[in-house]
Amino acid sequence: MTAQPLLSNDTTALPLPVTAPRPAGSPGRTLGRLGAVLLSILLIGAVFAPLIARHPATGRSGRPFEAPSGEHWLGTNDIGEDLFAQLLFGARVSLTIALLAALVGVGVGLAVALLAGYSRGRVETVLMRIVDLTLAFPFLVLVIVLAAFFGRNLFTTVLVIGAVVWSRPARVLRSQVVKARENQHVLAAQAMGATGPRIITRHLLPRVAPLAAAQFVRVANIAVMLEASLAFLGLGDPTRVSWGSTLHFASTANAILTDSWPWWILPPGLALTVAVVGLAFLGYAIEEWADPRLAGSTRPRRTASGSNQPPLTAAADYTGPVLEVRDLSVEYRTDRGTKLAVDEVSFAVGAGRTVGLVGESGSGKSTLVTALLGLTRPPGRVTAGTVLLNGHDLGRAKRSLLEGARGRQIALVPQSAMNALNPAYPIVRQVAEAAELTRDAPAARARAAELLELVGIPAERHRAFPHEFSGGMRQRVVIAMALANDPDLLLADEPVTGLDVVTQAKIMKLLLDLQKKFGMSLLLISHDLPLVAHAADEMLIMHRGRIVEAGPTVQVTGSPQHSYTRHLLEAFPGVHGPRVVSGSAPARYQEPS
Amino acid sequence: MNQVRKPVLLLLPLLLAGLVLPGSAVAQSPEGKPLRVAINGFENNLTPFSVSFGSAPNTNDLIGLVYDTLFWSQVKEDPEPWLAESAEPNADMTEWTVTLRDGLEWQDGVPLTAADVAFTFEYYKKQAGASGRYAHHVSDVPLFQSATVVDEQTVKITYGAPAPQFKVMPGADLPILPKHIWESVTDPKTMSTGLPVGSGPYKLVEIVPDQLYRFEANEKYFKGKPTVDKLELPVVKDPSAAFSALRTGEVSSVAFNVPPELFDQFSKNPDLALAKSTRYQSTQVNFNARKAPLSDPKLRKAMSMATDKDALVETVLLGRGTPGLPTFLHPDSVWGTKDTKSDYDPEAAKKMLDDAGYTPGAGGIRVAPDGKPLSFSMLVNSFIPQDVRAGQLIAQQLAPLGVEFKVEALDPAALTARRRPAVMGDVPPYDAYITNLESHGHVDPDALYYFFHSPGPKGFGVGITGYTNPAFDKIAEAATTAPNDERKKLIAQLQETIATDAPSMALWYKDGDWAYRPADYDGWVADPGQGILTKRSFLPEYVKVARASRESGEDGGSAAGESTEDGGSNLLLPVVAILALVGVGIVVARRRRPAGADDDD
Amino acid sequence: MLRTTVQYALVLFAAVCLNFALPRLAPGDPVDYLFPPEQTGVITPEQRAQVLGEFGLDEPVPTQFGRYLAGIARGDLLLSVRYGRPVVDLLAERIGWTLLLVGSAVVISGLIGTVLGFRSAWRRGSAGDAPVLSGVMFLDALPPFFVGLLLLLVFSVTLGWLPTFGAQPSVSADGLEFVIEVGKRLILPLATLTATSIGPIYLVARSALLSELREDYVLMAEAKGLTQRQVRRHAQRNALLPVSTIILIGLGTLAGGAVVVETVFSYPGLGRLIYESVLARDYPVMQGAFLLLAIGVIAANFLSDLLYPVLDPRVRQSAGARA
Repeated sequence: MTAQPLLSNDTTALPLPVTAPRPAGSPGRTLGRLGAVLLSILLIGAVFAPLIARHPATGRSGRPFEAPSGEHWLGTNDIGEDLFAQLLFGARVSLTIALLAALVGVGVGLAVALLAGYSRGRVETVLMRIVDLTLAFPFLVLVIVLAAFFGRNLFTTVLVIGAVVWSRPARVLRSQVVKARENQHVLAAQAMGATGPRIITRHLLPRVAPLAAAQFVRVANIAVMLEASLAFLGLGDPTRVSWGSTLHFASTANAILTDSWPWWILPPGLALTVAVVGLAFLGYAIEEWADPRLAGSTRPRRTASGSNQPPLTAAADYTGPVLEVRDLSVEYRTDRGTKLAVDEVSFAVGAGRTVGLVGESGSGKSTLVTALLGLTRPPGRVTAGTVLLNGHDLGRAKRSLLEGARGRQIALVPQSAMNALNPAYPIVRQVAEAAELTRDAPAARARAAELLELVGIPAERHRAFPHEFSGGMRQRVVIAMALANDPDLLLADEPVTGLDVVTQAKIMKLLLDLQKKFGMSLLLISHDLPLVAHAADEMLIMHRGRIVEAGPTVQVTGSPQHSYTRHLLEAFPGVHGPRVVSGSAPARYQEPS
Repeated sequence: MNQVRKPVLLLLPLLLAGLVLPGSAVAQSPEGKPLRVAINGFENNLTPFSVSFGSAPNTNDLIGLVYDTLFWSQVKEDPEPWLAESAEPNADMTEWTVTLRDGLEWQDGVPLTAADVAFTFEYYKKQAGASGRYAHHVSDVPLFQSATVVDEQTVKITYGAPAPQFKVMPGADLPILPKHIWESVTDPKTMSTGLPVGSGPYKLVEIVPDQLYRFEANEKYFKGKPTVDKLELPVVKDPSAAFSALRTGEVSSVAFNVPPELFDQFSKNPDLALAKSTRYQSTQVNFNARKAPLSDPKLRKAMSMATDKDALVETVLLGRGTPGLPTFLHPDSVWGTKDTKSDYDPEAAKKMLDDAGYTPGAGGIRVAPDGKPLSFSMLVNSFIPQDVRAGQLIAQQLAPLGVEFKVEALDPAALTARRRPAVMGDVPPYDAYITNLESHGHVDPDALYYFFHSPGPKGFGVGITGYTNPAFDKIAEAATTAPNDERKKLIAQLQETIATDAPSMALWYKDGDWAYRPADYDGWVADPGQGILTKRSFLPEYVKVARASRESGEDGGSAAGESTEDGGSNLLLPVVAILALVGVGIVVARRRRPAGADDDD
Repeated sequence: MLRTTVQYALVLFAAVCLNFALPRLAPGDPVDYLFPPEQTGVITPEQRAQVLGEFGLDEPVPTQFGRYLAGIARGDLLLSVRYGRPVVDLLAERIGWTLLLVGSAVVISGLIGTVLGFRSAWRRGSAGDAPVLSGVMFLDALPPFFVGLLLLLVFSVTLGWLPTFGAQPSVSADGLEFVIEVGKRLILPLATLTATSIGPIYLVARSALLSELREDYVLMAEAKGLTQRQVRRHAQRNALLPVSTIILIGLGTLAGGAVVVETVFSYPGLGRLIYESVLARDYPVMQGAFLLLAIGVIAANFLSDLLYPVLDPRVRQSAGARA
């Protein structure tokens, strides 16, 4: 069970330090700025303390327990030292310790992470067990033991805090190193004989650097808090002016029982809070920058549940296309600018027809699909266009209508069926859940069983979990799910990509068979032109967000008008017309390419 | 899901608020209901062996509730008979015949006899390690030899040297143990002995470890039925918590000194009264007299002269104390001189160092004749803030003299360890430290012997300061066996020597201020040398006297009539702060709602 | 499984050794704490040996270590020097209060943190996210002792609503009254501890759900027409995994108590016991308490190893295959 060493697997680990664009208006940006401002204020106070404060931080400059006055802005403490000066000079201690402890903690943590993540095996096990051990480490004794050897000074404090906090960055960064290590470039470098140190410094280090930066801020944050706690408990150096020691003396001099607390307890307490919150905001901003998932971005909030919506079925006398799209545009807005992903796309899918949508990766196919389902995710935004389903105008704002249509009139067989199933639930439950939209629970269960049988999954496996199935089988489950409510239109987005060739053919056959059986329309989306050409009645060629060519399959493949279509066709030699998809592999896969 | 969750979340604070509502401040009356007094340390099962003297200074008083001594009050020159009816010495004072009162009983009904007394002396000797602070009663001074039972009521204590102070030490200090309980105990420091059985006015009936002691009155006590039936002593280690509990009425008194910063406020509080009785505490700097250049009395004396003890008292104690005297002993001690002249004279101190060859050096720090700069470390207990503050102030005061002190704060065990040489007899590594003496030291007729005699039969003197002065030793030895009048003269000579040699520099003697709620109980007896939580505060004859003297206004008690709006200003800010926070919360919550609803894009 | 067990056993043994060695490296010994010379007179080496001997601490260090190990095997953690009582009893007395205080704080902050974190992630980018995110980070930034002092100041000192110290009433109280009295003493420390420990759980919950919401199965769940509530449940089910881990780790470190909060509120928990034992150089208590701490952490590991398969069927399968 070593695959799940929970302690060594920090749950806050952020696996993707790719700096992808981030939606505008994410909290990190604002928080980061706020954090930087707060810290700058403290930093200015700390650096210019001798200029700002009118009195030294230590040594009496007034009577004990003076109330605030023009002379002593925050009054004086129990021996007549100026509290305002102590507040400013205290910032120096907190910030210095934060900086040094973070350097030590992240330095050690990073070294351990790199060593463990790089060498794996026994070294890793030992290192990570030591990391585990630090959680159960008698921290308080360590404080006293180290203080005995080195005295109660800044060095000891930094050492103690470093010794306590290093395991956290070690844990987080190790999982990152492990991932980075599996990266193609790193593997390639290794294959070409790069040495360990070189791989670590040239390849692994840069990949974990953003996360290490985030950890640095986090550790600094913890260090500020720890230093203050130690000082408060009386385990720090009471002769060193810091926020913690000011609070220590305030607490031991019963400040909460006297009138002195508003200027003796509140300011250092708030200063500590500001420092920690400033670091936390900054740390969050860095983490979000390192891992844009955290940005969250603006995700439309939907209100009504779909099941209450009137059905969008075709009227009895309706003879038009199942789906009609007019001038649909979708754009992505990020902090790096705006990109038009779908640009005034128009097309229609007739009843019972199979329409193929072909384009290379990044052409906007999937954006189009999600837009059709009303599932455009931020930072994407539908900016223009009309969608008609069975003649009903879905409009881009009428999300509730779309929701009524999803799973009923329009169903999706998504890209990467490998991940389209929730790993936590048995498959039959996931199919039944879909079927429940239009029927009660027992009926839905029956329907689910029926559908799973139909796509070729034997009854005894219905209660199994997704991970227990192969990719092809999972795709069958996904198809069963899509069919749950007899949709009028099936959107199949790269339905067989990633499957082995034999399975591809089987799934395609199943899909087409079922289309006929249920009389559905099919929008088949793929980068694989031959595959689409074999199945589709009509074809749409998409390039850079626009549909550059549309027409019957024979026409598009036979006499392409657009240069891009020709280019696509040339990339797939041997495609000269529709071929019947059979149980055997298509001929093109046997040709050398 | 949200609809379900919200009411639950709302309910939580309501539930908590429900707990708050019933009034928590329940006033205790002496009749029936227990009297609650906060103490600041848990002392296991309160036997003379179980207490740790490091944690709580009021353990003597607590033990005194359960156990009795032969005489009362070690602070007196001629203590009052307690368990003993009388104690008569032989001619050379090496043998004391103690006669016990009639009809004494242990709390479990077993008669208390001479056998118990004899056993007690022998047992403390046998368990010298565990008995800690009582060990010296049966070791060197006085030089205990044996205890013999003469008859039921009479016991004879024999010493190897004259013991003129028998009635005080050990008479008024050594708790008498019941033989029938302790004779089989070989591990007295463990709590295997269970609830203690003494002869005192209170029976310990319940111990909630680290939280509470519950006592019930011993109605058959030989001094009469105690005035309070039940005592509850909650352990409150944090002084702020204890004194705030006193203010709210959660406790009726606090068994430790009112901190200086609370004194004014408390004396104005109409619900509180203050009693004053010094416990002869002192705080001093001990120099390592065996380590050069601190071994030079002139250097030590110069530092003492350059230290402004008045300023220390004004600053650290806010005036609630007496500045330390060069003659070391507490000015109110029956044994000390009444000479209260300060030796503060920084200019003379400078001259003294100039003359002794301490020349100015780099950074304003003088250099000793042997070439070492006068740069020292001052060890302080980091958990006694007043000591830390004193250290800081002394360092500042001595800087102009050209002596540098770096204050080094240590936890108590580390501090003791630093003072202890690795091998007994070696010179310990410290330079100076600040330490505190509780009542015992200053009223003990042999105190100066213990602290400054060298080497001392068991190395006491060396252990405390390392001070060596053969002339001093000779007088000190003579003093231990001298009769009172002569002893006082000798002690005065010793004090003069201390004042000259300055092995230890007394910084201050704290006032003892004790606060209580007179509405709950007003029989408190403020005996010198004790706190107010002593058995005498509950014994009718003493309570009567105390009340009478308080009424005539002689006592330090000050149930002031001035009523001030205490806490009024305190209330405002936090309430405003909380309202503001709540307000912000509501605004955020409100904003979130419509914003979320509009966000339908 | 066996390998893991062996590894954990080794970690535990390392902790046991560390717990024995580290306290003895600190300057001073129990006698130094118990008998400060000013109060008790200087202790002679013989007297020191006599006191230590009562607790077996005068023996050579290897013998002591042997006794310590043998004691652990018997479930006997020796005698506390400061308290003169079995360490097991001391720990037993304290663990109840710690479970009550720290345990409920972990549970409550776990619940609140998870609910808020999920909610934030679900409403990410909307007005419901950023204020909560920054609000929780602010709470997290408040030093516990500062919060504790302020609460004490407001509710105990100024308003006088709540007691200022301890865990249970000093007046004899029974039944409901006792519960109420204990509750009144619990509120402030619990509030302090809860408020200051929501942060990490919230952040993990938020990032875990955000991460799940990017998964394809969520898109699929939406595409197949599920209601938002159903979709959210799908994602939360999987996001619970890291959340439960961090809560369990919180429970695992529970034996360490909450020193700062227990100090501010004079609460008789394990943290305070450990802290005072460290100052008193009470080796047996330190050894025992740290052992408990190590066991807690390792038990939390084991528990999450057990919980993982329950929450994640993938692990259930592969764990079964590996075992």
